[in-house]
Parts: sequence; C-alpha cells; structure tokens
Amino acid sequence: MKDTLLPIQADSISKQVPVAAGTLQILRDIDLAVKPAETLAVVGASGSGKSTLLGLLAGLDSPSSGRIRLAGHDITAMDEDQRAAVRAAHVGFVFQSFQLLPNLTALENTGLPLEILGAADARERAADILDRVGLAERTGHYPRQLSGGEQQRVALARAFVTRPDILFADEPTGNLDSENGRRIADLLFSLNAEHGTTLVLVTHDGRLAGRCGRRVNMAAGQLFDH
Amino acid sequence: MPISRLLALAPRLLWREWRSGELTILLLALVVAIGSHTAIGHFTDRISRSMEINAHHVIGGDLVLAGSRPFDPGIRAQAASLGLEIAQTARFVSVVTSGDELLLVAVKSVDDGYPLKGRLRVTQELYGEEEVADQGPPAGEAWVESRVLHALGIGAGDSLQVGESDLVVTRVLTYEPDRGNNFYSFNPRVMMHASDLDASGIIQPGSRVWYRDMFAGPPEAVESFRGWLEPTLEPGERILALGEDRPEVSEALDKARQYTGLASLVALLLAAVAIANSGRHYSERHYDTSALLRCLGCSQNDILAIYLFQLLVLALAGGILGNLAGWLAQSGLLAALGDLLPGNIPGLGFQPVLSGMFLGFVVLLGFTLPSILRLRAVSPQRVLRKDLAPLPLSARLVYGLTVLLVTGLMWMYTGNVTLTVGIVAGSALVLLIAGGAIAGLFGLLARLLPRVPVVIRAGVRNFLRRRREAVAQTMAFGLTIMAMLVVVMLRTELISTWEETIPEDAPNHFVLNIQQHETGPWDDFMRAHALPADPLYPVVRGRLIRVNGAPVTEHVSKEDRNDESINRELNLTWSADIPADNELTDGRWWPDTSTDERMVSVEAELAERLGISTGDELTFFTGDRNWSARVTSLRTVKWDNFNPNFYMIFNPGAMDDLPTTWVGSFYLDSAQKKILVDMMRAFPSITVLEMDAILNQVKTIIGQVVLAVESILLFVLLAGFVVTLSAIQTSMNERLQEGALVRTLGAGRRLLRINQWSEFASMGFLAGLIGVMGSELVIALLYRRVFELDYQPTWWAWLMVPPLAALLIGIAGTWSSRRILARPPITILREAGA
Repeated sequence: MKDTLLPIQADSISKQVPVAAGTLQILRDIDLAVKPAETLAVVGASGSGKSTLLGLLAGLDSPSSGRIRLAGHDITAMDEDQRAAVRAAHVGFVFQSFQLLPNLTALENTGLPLEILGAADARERAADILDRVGLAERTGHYPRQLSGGEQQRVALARAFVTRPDILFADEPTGNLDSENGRRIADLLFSLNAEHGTTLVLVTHDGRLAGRCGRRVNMAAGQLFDH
Repeated sequence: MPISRLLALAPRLLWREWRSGELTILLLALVVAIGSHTAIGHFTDRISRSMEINAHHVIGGDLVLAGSRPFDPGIRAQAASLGLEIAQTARFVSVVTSGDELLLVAVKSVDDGYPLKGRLRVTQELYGEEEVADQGPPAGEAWVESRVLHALGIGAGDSLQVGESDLVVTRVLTYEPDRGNNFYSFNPRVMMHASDLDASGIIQPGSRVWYRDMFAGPPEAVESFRGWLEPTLEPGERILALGEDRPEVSEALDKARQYTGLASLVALLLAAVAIANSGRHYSERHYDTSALLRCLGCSQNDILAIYLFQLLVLALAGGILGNLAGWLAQSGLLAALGDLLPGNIPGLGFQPVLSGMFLGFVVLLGFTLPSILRLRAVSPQRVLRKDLAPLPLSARLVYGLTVLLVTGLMWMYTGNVTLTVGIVAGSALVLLIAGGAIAGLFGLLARLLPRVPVVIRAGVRNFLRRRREAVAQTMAFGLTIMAMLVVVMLRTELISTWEETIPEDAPNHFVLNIQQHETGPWDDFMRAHALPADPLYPVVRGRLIRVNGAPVTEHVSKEDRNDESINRELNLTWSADIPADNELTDGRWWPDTSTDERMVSVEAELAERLGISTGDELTFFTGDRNWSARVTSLRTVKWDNFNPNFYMIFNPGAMDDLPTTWVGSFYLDSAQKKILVDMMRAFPSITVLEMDAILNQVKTIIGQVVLAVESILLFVLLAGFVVTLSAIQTSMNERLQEGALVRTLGAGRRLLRINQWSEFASMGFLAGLIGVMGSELVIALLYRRVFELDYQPTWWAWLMVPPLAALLIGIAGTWSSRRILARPPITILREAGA
C-alpha cells in the first residue's frame, strides 16, 4: 500500500524534553502505520508515553526526530497553524476529561467544530447526532447539568459531527464507572463502524482495547506489537 | 480561517460568554471607567464653560486691554477685522455737583457696546425692584450708585453736572459685572455715555484716566487677536487676565480643574485596575477553551482574532453604555443642582463622547492585551495535559506597557506634568515600599503564627500560603484605598479652604469714613438694628511719596510708574497684632515696642513692585505734612477674605497725631436693605460700599465648584467598589474548589466562615496600612507642589482606615465566598471538573 493512502504513518519518531538533569527520552524510535477504517488500541501503564504518542500523531505537538504523515500530509514539515488546518479537516478527538466548554450548551458544544469549518447547517447536524447518541432531550443543557456519561456522549457527538477521517480517543472511559464506560464504548464503536472512521484509542483498560481490531503495547517509550 | 468565518464564529462565542455572566464584571468595570470619564467630562466641560462665561463677566470681556492713554484706533480696527465684538470704557475720578452739593465720584463712560459680558443691574428708584440692563445709560443720562443720591440729597429724575455736561439721573446702579475687587479706591460710581464725555470737557491733557477696551468673540479669534496685540503693547498698556483681577475666583477654578482632573484620573485608574484584573481572570479561565479550539483546528491567529474581536465588541458596548451612563449621571447632576447653576449652561460637548469611546478601546486593549496574548500562546496539547500553562509574558514588557499607558493617560487627563510625575513617582515609591513592607509583614506574621488564636490560625495560614497572589491582591486593595483616600482628603481640604474663603455670613457691606466721635453711636446703631458689628479699623489716608528720601516715581521702573498704589491715597492702619491670615515673609512684627519710632509692615507684592525692602524708609503725605516710617517687615495678604485688608500696617501709636477715620464691615441680607437709608441719615458723612452682588457672584461660582468636586467623589467610590469586586472574583474559583474540598474532608461551616473572615480581614488590614501610607506620601507631595495647601499628617486615617478596611474587605470577601457554604460541596467539585 502506498504511503499516501495510509491515514497515519509514523517513521522512527522520537521525543525528548529537557529536564533539570539533562534530557528525558519519552518516546524512542517508533514506527507505526494505521490503515483506513482500522481500529487501533495503544495500551500501557501510566507514564509509558502513550498520551504523548497520541499528541504527536494528532499533530498537537512535534516529534524531536522522525516523520509523521496524517491524512496524507507530512505534518512534521508543517508549522502549528498548518497542522491546525489538517486537524480541522480530517481529525476528531475524544478526551478522558471530556473537554466540553462550560459556557456552551450540549448543542453548541457539539456544533462548535462545524462552526469552525463554517458549515451553514451546524445546528441541524449537531441536533441530529445528539439524537443519535440519545441526548435529544438534553440539547439545551450545560455540561454542569449533565452526568459524566452524558458529558462524554456529548463529546462523542462533537467528535463525529464533522465525519472525521480519523478519530483520536484518549482514555475515553477513564473518568466513568464501568456501566457508563461500557455504554460509551458501545456508542464509540458503533459510530465508528457507521462512519468508517480510522480510530486510534489510548487506554489502559484491557477490555476496551480488546474491542479494537489491532492492539499495540507501549512501555518505556517504545511500541511492541501485541 | 477566512475572515468571514471568523466574523461568524467570534460573535457567537462572545454571546455565549456573555450569557454565562463571565463578562459582567469586565463590562461593569469598563462602563464605570467610561461612565465616570464622560460624566465628569460633560459635567466639568459644561460647568467650566459656564463658570468661564461668568468669570469673564468679571473682567468684562474675553480679553481686556487696559491703559492710561487712549488706545491706537488700529487696535480696534484689527479686532473688528477678526470679527470680535468691542466695548470701550474710560474711568476717572471727578467732582460732580448738584445744586450746592459737591461729591468726589468715580466716573465711568461707556459706549453702546458695553457691557460685552454679563449685564448691568439697576433699579428705577432707591432700593426698588432690580432689573437687568443690556446697555449702559443713553446720552444725556447718568446712572449712579445709591451713595451718590444719599450724598447729594437727590433722587431719580433730578440732574447732576459732570464738568460742563448736565445729566439726568434715570437709574440707580446696583451691579456692574466688571466692577473688580478694589474696595477702598471706590468713590461712588456715576456711569455716563461716552458721547457725553467730550461735551463735558472734563478730560484735559494730563488728566488721569484709565481706559479699558474689551473684546469678545470665538476663542480662536480672541487668541489670534491676543497674538497680534501682545507685541504691539506700549508701556503702560497691559492685557488683563482673570487671575489678576479676581484671584479668588481664578484660584478656585484652577484648583477645581486640577481636582476634577485628578479625581477622574483616579476613577479611571481604579477602573483600569478592575479591567486588568478581570481581563487576566478572563484569560486564565479560557486556557482550556483556547486549547480545545486549537485542537479543533483554529490557528494561533484565529484565537487572537476571536478574542480581539470580543474585546473590541466589549469596548464598543462599554463605550456606548458608559457614554449613556455618563450622560445620565451628568444630566441628573445638573438637574439636581438646577437652582445653584446659572441659567446659561452651554449644551453638551461632543469631545467627551469621542474621548470616552477612544478611552474604552485604549483602556480595555491596553490593560487586557497582555493576558489575551497569553491565550494565543496556549498549546493545543493542554487538552491532554492540563498542567501546560502558556509561558508568562516578560514582566518588563507588561509592566512597562502599563506604566507607559497610565502615564500617558494621566498626562492626557491633567495636562499637568508635576501632577503626573508626582502620582507616578508616588505610586512607584508606594509600590516599592509596600512590597518590601508586605514581605516583612508576611515574615512577621509567619513567625507569629503559633501565637495567633487557634480559631483564626487556619485563615491566616491560608493567607500566607497564597503569598504571591495575596501580595498582588493586597497591593491592589492598598492602591485602591490609597487612591480613594487621596481623593477624599483633597476634597475635604479644598472644600473647607473654599468655604473659609467666603463664610455664609461674610460681611457684604463695607463702611468708610466713620469719624472718631461717631464710633460710639455706630455701635449703638448696629445693636439697635440687631446687626452683628465687626470691629472697626482705624484708617489714616496718606500718599506714598518717597522711598529712602528719593521720590517714589524715580524709585520704581517706568512700567510701574502708573501703579495705582503710588498715584492715589492709600488707606493706612495700625495694629498691635498681625491680621490672622497675613504671613510674614521678611523681617519681624514690631521688633521693638518700647521705642516711639514709626514702623511699617508692607504687603509683599507691592513691596516687590515698588522695590521696597526691610530697613527702607518710606515717606507719606497726609493732609498738610510729610511723615516717615521704617519698614520692619513684609507680609502676604489674602485679598480674597472679604475683610478689610491693608497694604501698610503701622505700629500702635505711630499715627496718633494724624487725622483718623474708621472703617468697618457688616453683613446685611437683601431683605434688610432699607436699613441703609436709616444708616445714611444717622451718619451722613459715611460711605457704604455694597458688595453683596459681587459676593453672591463669587459664592455662586465657588458653590458650583464644590458641587462638581462632591459629585466626582461618587464616581471614585463606585470605581473602588468595582475593583474590590473584580479582585475578589478573580480568586473565587480556586477558593470555591478549596472550600468544597475542605468541607468534604469534614470542616464545619463555622470553621470555614472564620477562615474566610480572618483571611480577608488580614488582607484588608494590610491593604489599609498601605493605603494610608501611600495617601500620606502622595498628598504631602500634591499639597506642596500642586494645590499649595499646608500638609499635615492625618492621624485619624492611620487609626481608622486599617480596621475599617479589614471590616469592609472581610465583609465583601465573605459575602462573595458565600457560595462555598451555600451549595453542596459535591456540586462545586463536579462543576470544577466540568
């Protein structure tokens, strides 16, 4: 398969950060390719570097060395603003801490990525997808008026509303109880299947990882195939 | 992001922010800043234009040219070509006759243009109903003061002779707007038309005449005329300014202008502190939003553009609302003051509106831009790692920008370099000292902690733990208190100074020429009419003729040869004590009381003009002989105190052998005016000067000034309130979470309340100390350098302000933190999580 068709391709990427005692090697020499519509779980203990990897793959940060292609773009050759444009066009996110804006209603939070893209029908599409995640009755509620599970469902709706090619999820069930966690996972995978989205999921929850098509382990800044 | 998309997104985000109440305090601070600016701007603009109009009545024109020879006709031609209105008067002392009676009077001839500013007031008969007159007497008529009628024993309709002219007295003159302040040189006024002057044949070569040409017109024309006129002035000709003629009015105006400038500046600065506070708080609350927006595809510039847009809309809204509030406030003020203000208040100026809008942008952008720039720098990675805060901007940049902005604003406001530098340097000094002092106090407090009562120990520890934030907040409160104290203290001092200038029952009538044998009957008369009698002062008339043996005209410079003080008789008096508000500038007050040498104390400015110093010998001419005295001291005189004041005061006994009359003053309200008729009958030789019209004019102006000053204080207090709110609000989220956590861990409400109390109260106490210290520093400087007042430490402030500040900030802080106690901790923690 040619590089350009792969949604994500990382070639020997490393990340170091300066610390008081010298430099800290967070990631070392990682190669990773993710195919279209593939679901990939990155598992590992806390501090193993999996969130850093996710940030690099999604273009939120730059590697110290190596090359990353995201949706066909060499994002390592881009500046932050160019990467932002790639994210806007191709990428969706789901976070452990939901990251809903407290002053926006569920509907407004969901529609925000469409507004950034300048979509005229942002409200309708946001309402549709909120209906799809079972929150049709809660569109006017603010995050503080929603339970944790409901907040994460709004976050899922926001992630899928732009029909992204690639979805990055960082511990999406980490802040939820097991029942709510299971429901969110169900929703995540069914939306993913409906939209044919490529999914990269970071978690230390083995069961969640088990629902992905492929699984890689992260330890001491290196990747190991499962 | 294309601009069109930004323009669609930014307003939506702004609306959502607004809905959440996040922007309320920011907008409130902005509205207070702009509101106070425009209210004060409109109010002082209108009042000072009106005061200036009234004040110019006092000298008779926008520009007045005075001299002792007729002016070159080219001057009037030039004024006319610039479109100025012109009036001409000539004043001289002459004798008028009616039947067998003779009277020395001050004649003033006026042309048809007179008066240019203000109006004359006259009555048809003695003490009749007053009416206003837009012009002086027509040809063939004379308007005279009541004294003339008393002295000549005539009434309205009778005639009198001025030189060879026969004039019919048609009106009694009660008020001349440009009369001036020269009480004692007054002979009673006879006003006639200029065309009768030549016919009277009274002015001959060598006659002593004071000419005044008055000009009025648009300010630019007046200024360009002044520019043309000044270089062409001949010796003995001068341009009159308000300050020379009516020092008390111009001084009050100047101080009021400086004060309103200072007060509105303080209101503005306080509001700016509030804006900066809220702006920083707003920005910190939006790190997550920025990170998320970046994550969702906004570039750094998009973020900057979104927040800049929000600021601009806020500035615009603040500008409009602030202008509206300012306009309402000044309309309210003017309506409330209706009776006190003259009827001729000019309309609203456009300048305060424009500068208010401009100010909104400058203040909001200037004080929040550093915070907004930090938002731009938030890393998108913050969505994954919450601890990633943007790097702080260079402190030098932020503080440099702020100091620059503040200094610029101050200068723009006050136009006074001393004031600006004084406040900036004062504040910097206060900040420096206060910073050091607080650090010291913190150290002390930390060491004393074990001895602090257990109940409040946690609160004090909390205060100490948040040291950096607490220092900043304490300083902000301290500066706020300082600024408010400065404004309050200055106001109190200025108003009491002005009110002392003209007490409610200040004498408004002066009486001259009471003979020695009449002093007893005079006291009886005053008692019989229940009038409070002020003491009488002895007066000897004498003309200063020689200084150290040389004729005085040779002693002075050519320009001063026409000084009125050496061309007329002076009123000389004696006194054992120096008058209460006179101050010695040189020499001693009666150094030796045992000798019978004649000694004199001379008014300092006159001494300077005439080149007189202590030790000089002055020779006077009285009646038929010359006599001399040695100058033993120079002193300043407050001419504006409405008491008899004297250029020359001699030691007791120095003038025992000279003919003496007595002068006095008394207060008479307008309903009692008819007493004057009885008075003139009982004491036919006395001269009564009616000063009530002039006094009322001055009182009105001072009253306006005081009210302006009072109302401005209101804005300062409002601004102070907003700062307090904003400062407390900025730390509220953290406090909420902490409080909730502590409650979850089992702390009771009582304990938490005591904690909050002791924390805010200790902050208030420290801030109070800083405020008092700073205000003392700034006030000492301002009093000496700007307002020319005597500085004395305000002990009450040291005692009262720190406890009061502790109480008020304690209440405000606890009230703002009531949410911590009012809501279940779990709700607060969950919201914090969301």
